[in-house]
Amino acid sequence: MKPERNRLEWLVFALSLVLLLSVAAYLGRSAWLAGHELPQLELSAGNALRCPTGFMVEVTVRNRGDQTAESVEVEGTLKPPRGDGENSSFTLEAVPRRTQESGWMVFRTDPGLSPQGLQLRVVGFSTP
Amino acid sequence: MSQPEAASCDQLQPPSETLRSYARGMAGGLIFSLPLLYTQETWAVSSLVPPQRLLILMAITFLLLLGYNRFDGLRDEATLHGLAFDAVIEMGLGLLLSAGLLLLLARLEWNHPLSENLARVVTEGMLIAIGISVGTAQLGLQAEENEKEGKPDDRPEWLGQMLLAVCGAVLFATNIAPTDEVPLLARQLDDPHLLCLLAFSLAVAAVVLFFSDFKGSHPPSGQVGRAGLAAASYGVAFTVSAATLWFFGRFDAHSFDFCLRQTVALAFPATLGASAGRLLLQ
Repeated sequence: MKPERNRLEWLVFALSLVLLLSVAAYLGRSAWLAGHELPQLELSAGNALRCPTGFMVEVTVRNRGDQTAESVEVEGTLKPPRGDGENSSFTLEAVPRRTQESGWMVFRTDPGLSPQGLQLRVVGFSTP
Repeated sequence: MSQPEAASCDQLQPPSETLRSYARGMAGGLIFSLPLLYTQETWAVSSLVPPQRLLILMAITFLLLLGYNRFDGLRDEATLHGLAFDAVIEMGLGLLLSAGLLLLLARLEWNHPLSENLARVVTEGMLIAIGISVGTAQLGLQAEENEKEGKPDDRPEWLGQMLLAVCGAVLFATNIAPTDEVPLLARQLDDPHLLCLLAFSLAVAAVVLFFSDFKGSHPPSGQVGRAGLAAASYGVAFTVSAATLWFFGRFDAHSFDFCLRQTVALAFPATLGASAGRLLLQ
């Protein structure tokens, strides 16, 4: 025998069904369209800001690939007009696919005075 | 039972009672999935689960809920569409609760793709859904317990027992499978240790099933039947362990030997779930 359901149960059922079907449809679409491209990391630097120990620069790492990059090590080099070059680096725990994360580099000299600007590179990363 | 009471059984459940049963279920969902929600490895690993696996997880959860609701769950229900009705509600509530809690813990990251946040919500939401089903059945009011106990003994048969064992094993194994301790144990335990762990798991299954005074512990007659049920509990635990490890990507790019070691390491807590959990769930 079919037990009767009250309106609240029907309402919760309808909302749950819509939610589940939407999630399943989205996952199905993602599974269909999923790519397998390795992490593609792009770096960009923001403006230098003055801080108590010198100058700090926000560096954004954007991953345009389809896989997560983990333990992303980023290094920046400044070559001022006079004197030795200066390095700074940071490590991001993970930059998931199609996502951007950022870190900060700190220098003693003003990156704005460097003729070649701040040279950025990804030293290495791992994939899960 | 008096005539008016008998008639009321076929009538609509009052909304207040419906809300109460949802609240009970959600409390159960939280209790059973709390370790998963509060584990760093789960946040990291679950966001990387591919969509195909999430769809499989949703399908398996739906089937498990159908089976569990057959014996307990939101309402006493016997028809297939009634069971499905409850399973959909439990999964919907599980997803909502999971999303709400991850939001509360700031574990949904808006600068990350929707697919990653959704993977996290679905992974944790499905375990919460099973917890909701179990919670509704187990956190019931004393009066309802007595009412149930007053009924003739309709304890599920062998297949039903195994299904409850799967639910118990899933609740235990899923909370541990994503942690780093499982591969660590698999790397560091040598063969004698693993064999002892396997034997100990079997012994625990047997002890819990037959010699403890747990609610619902009624061993089948005959040594073969008893040993068979203990072995079957371990079999269920082993299979569920392998499945959950695969789901969380713990088998990806690893040798058969290492996968086997991880499964044996996880099968011990899963056996506890399949045997003790099974007795508590029913």
